[in-house]
Amino acid sequence: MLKGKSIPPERWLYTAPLRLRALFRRRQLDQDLDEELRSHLEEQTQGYIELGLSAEDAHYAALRDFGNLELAKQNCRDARRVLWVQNLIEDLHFGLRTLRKAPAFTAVAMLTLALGIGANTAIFSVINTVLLRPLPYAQPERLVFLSESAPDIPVMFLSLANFADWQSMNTVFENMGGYRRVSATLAGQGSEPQRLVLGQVTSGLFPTLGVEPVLGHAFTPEEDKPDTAPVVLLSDTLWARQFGRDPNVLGKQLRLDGTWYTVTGVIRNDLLPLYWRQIDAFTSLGRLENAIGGEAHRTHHLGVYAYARLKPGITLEQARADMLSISQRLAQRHPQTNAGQGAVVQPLLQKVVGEVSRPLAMLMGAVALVLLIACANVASLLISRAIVRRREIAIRSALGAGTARLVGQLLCESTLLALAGGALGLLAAYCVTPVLARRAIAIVPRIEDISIDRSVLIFTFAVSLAIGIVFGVVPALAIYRRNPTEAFQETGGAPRSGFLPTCLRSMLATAELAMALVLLVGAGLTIKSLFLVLQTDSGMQTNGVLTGVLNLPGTKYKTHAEVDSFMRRLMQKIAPLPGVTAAGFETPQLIGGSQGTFRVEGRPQPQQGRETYAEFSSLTPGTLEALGVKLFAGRFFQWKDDAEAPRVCIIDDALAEQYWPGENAIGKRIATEVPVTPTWWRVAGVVHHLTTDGAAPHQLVEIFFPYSQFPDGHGRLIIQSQQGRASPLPEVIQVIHSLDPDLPLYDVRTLSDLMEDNVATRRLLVVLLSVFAALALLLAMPGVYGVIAYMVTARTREIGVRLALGAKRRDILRLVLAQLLPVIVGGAGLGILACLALRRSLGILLFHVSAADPWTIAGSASLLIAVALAACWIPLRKAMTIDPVRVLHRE
Amino acid sequence: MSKPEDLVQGTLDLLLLKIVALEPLNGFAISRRLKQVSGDVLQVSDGSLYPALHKLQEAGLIEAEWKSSENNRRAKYYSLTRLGRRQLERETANWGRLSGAISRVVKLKEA
Repeated sequence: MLKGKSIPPERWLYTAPLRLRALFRRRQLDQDLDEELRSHLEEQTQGYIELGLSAEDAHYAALRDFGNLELAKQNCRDARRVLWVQNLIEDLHFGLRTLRKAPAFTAVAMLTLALGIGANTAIFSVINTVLLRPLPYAQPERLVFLSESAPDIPVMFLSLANFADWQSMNTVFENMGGYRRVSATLAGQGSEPQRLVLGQVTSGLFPTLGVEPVLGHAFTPEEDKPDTAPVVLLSDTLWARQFGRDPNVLGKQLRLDGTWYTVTGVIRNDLLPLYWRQIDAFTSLGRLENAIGGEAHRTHHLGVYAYARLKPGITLEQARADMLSISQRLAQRHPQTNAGQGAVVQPLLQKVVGEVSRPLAMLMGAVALVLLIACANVASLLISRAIVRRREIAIRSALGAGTARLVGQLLCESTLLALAGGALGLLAAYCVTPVLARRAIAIVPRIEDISIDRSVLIFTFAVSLAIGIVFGVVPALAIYRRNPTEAFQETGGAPRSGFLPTCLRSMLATAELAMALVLLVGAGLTIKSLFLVLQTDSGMQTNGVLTGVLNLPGTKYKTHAEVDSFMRRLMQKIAPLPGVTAAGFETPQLIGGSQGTFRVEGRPQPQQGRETYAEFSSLTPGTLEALGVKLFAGRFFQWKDDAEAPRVCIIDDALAEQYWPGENAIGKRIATEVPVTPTWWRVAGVVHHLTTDGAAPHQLVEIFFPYSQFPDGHGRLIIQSQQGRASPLPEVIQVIHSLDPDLPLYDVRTLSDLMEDNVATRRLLVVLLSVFAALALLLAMPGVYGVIAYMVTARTREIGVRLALGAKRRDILRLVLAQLLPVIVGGAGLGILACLALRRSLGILLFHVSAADPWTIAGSASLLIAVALAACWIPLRKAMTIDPVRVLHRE
Repeated sequence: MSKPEDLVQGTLDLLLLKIVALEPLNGFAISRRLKQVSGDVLQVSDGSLYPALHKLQEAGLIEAEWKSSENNRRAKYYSLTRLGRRQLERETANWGRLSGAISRVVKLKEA
C-alpha cells in the first residue's frame, strides 16, 4: 500500500540525500545500526533482569525474542536500496584486483582490444568526417549538384545556354548557380607574374550556397550581363597575399590576363567546397555570354557545372521529374543540339563524397572484422581464465554468492578490460588519424577536417562497452554448471576441459581464421588489381618526361594564328636545348580532356542520340615522340601540317581496329563537329592507345589533331630529357620568359607523378587493407595456438599414459591433429564461402581481376593455413616430446 | 488486490507510522507499543520490526535522531516527516474505506 503511485514526485527531495548518505557514510550507518540494535537488546535484557532472571539468561532470552540478528541487520542494510551500487563498486574493485594479479593476461587482452578498437575508431572518424558530418552550409540537405548527360556520357558539363533555360524554366529550385574553374595570369605589379586559379561563377552561386562575402558584396544579376564593367571577388588567401588584408581593398584594380578588374568583395574560401579552396579569385561567368553562351554555343559544354538549392518541401524526386520534363521540352525545341540529353540532379554531399563512400564502407567492414577477431581472441582468453578460476568460483558459490553476483563479477572484469582497451585504442587512433589524413588529403574530400569528436567518442565507448558485456557473458556460460561440488572433485594440475568451453574455443578459433581469410583475400584482390592496373600499358614511356602547364591569355594572344606562331617559335627554341631529346605541347590536357562526336566516311551517319565519341587533343610535332608513343602505321605530325595544309589526324589503334580491322587506316577520312561542322580529317598515322588511368572503366578512342590546325592557348608542355643529365627545366623557363616575360609555367611535374595521381586512391586502399589483413592474421594466430596449447596441457597425463601403454609418437600426432585440423580446415572453408558470398560488393572496387579469382583465394588460404600451423608448432612439439616416465612420476 | 504478505506489510507500515505519529519513540518502545496495542494478533518479531523501520526511514516517511532514553541510554528516536504525515493521512483514509468495505462484505447475511 505504501508502494508506488500515491507518493508525490517531490519525494526525491527527501530520499536523494538519504541515498547519498547510504552510499558515502556507509560505515557510520552500519555503526548506528549496531548501536541501535544493541540498545534494544540491552533494554530487553534489563526488562528480563527486572523480572528476576540472571544476567546471562536475560541476555539469551532477549536474543531469542529478537530472532536472527544478522539477518535483521542485513535486511536493514538492504532497506537503503543502494546495495547494487555497493556491489558494483565491490565488483569493480575485485575486477581491478584480479586483473592486476594477472598482468600478462591483462596486457595481452588489452592490447588485442586496443588494436581492434583503435583501427575501428580511426576508420570511423574518417567516415564520420567525410560521410556523416553535414556540409558546412545552411540546410545543406537542400543543396544539389547539376550536370548534363548524353546517351553514352552519364555526367557531362553544362552548356551555358541550357543552364540559362534551366534557370528560367524550373519550378523546383530556390536558387541556382553555375561555375567553372579556369586559370588566369595576374600581371605582376612590380613583381613576377602569378598564375591564379579563377572561379567563374554566375550571380546565383553564392546565394545558393548561402555564403556571404566577408567584405563588399557578391555578384549582382547586373554583373551577370555581358557588357558590364569587369569585377572580381578576392578569396581571403589572395586578399592576405596580395593586399595584406587591407580593409580598404574594395574598388582597387587587378589586371588578370591583361584586363583590369575592380575588386568588389572578399570571400572566405574555407567555406567553399574542397576543390574550390585553391581558388584565388572569382569573376562573373555571365559576362562570357557572348563567348561561350547563347544559341551559337548550345553544343559547347565548356567546363561548367551548377549547384542549386531545392525549394523548401521539394524532394529530390520532384526535382528530377521537373528537370526531366525541361530536358524533354528543350530536346523538342532544339532537336539538333539537345536530342537525347538529360539533366542529372545529385545531392551535393553525395557528389562531394560519392567516389570515396564505397572504399570507406569496405574499410569499415575490414576493421569490423579485425575487431571481431580481436574480440574472439579475448573471449577465448577469458574462457581459459574462467576454467582456471573454476575452483575459486565454486568456492565462492558454495559460500553463498548468487549466480547473478558471480556473472556480474565476470561482466565487471570484462567491461573494465574492454574500456581500458577502448581508451588505449582511442589514444592509438588519435595518433594515427592525422597521418592517415595527410596521406589521403589529395584523394579523400573533407578529410582535412578530421577530428576525434563527440560522435567518435560515443562510437568508441559504445563499442567497448558492448564488447565488455557480450564477452563477459561468454566465459560465464563456459563455467556455468548447476553443481559446484564437481569443481572440488577435480584433481590438481591442469583442470579437465569441459566439453562446452573446448567446443566454444574451437568455434571461436575457426571463426577467427575464417574472418582473417576474408581480409586476406580482400587485400590480395586489391593488390592484384593494383598490380594489373599498374601493368596496363599506358602507351607511353614515362621515364625522364617532364611536364608543365602553359596558359596563353586570350586577351594577349587573340587569334589562332597568334597562338600557333607563339607555340611554333617556343618549340623551335626548346627542341635544340641541351638535354632535351624531344618536346611538344598538347592541349587541352594530357590525353584528351575534351570529348566530341565523330563519324567515319563511308559509314551511315549515326542516329541522333547514338553518336560515337572520342577523346580529342591537339599536338605540336614532337609531342608523341616525347611521350615515346609507338607508331603502328603512317607518320607523326610535322610543322608542315599547318593551318593551310590539308587537314590530317592521328588515331589510336582502338579506333583503327574498330572501323578498319585488318585494313590500312591511313588515308581514310573522319569528320568531327569541331572547329566547325563538319570538319574532315585524313588519317595520317595510327598510334598505340594512350591511357593515364589503367583502371578507367570504359575508355574512349582517341583522335589527335595537328596543333596548327586546331590550336588552343591552354595546355601542357611535354619534354623528354636525356637520361643522366641535369634537368633542362631552368633553360626551358628561360626560353619561355624570353618570348613572353608575363607567362608562368606551372604545375610542373614528371609524367610518372601525373599518372600516379590516378592510382593514389587504389594504392592507399591497398596499403590500408594489407595492414588490416596482417593485423587479422596476427590476431588470429593466438586463437588457434590457444586451442591446441590448452588441449595439450589438459591432456598431458592422458598422452603420457598412452605413451606408457605403447602408443607411437605418430598416434599422438594424430590425436593433436584431430583437434587442430577441423579448426583450420573449417576456418579456411568458411572463409572461402564468405568470400564467395561477398564477391559482389568486393568486385565493385576491383579492375582487371574477378572477385572470385581462384589464384588469390588459393594463395590466401595457403598462407592462412601455413601461418595457423606455424602458430601451433610449439604446443605440437610439446605434445610430441612428452616424457611418459616424468608424467607418471608426477601422479 | 495485492498478495497477502503485502497486505500485512502495508498494514505494519501503517501501524508504525501511526505509532510514531503520536510521539517520537525509539525502536524498543515502538516494539513494546506494537505488542500492547495489537496483542498477539500481529506477530511482529523485532527481527522484522527494524528492517521495516529502516525501510520507512529510507523512503523519507520517518526520520531518526539520537537522544537519551528514559533510563539514560542513548537511543535512536523515530518521528514522522512531513512526507510521512501526508502518507499516513492518505493511508488511514484508504484503510478506512477498505476495512469498511470488507466488514460490510463479511457481515452480509446469507440469503
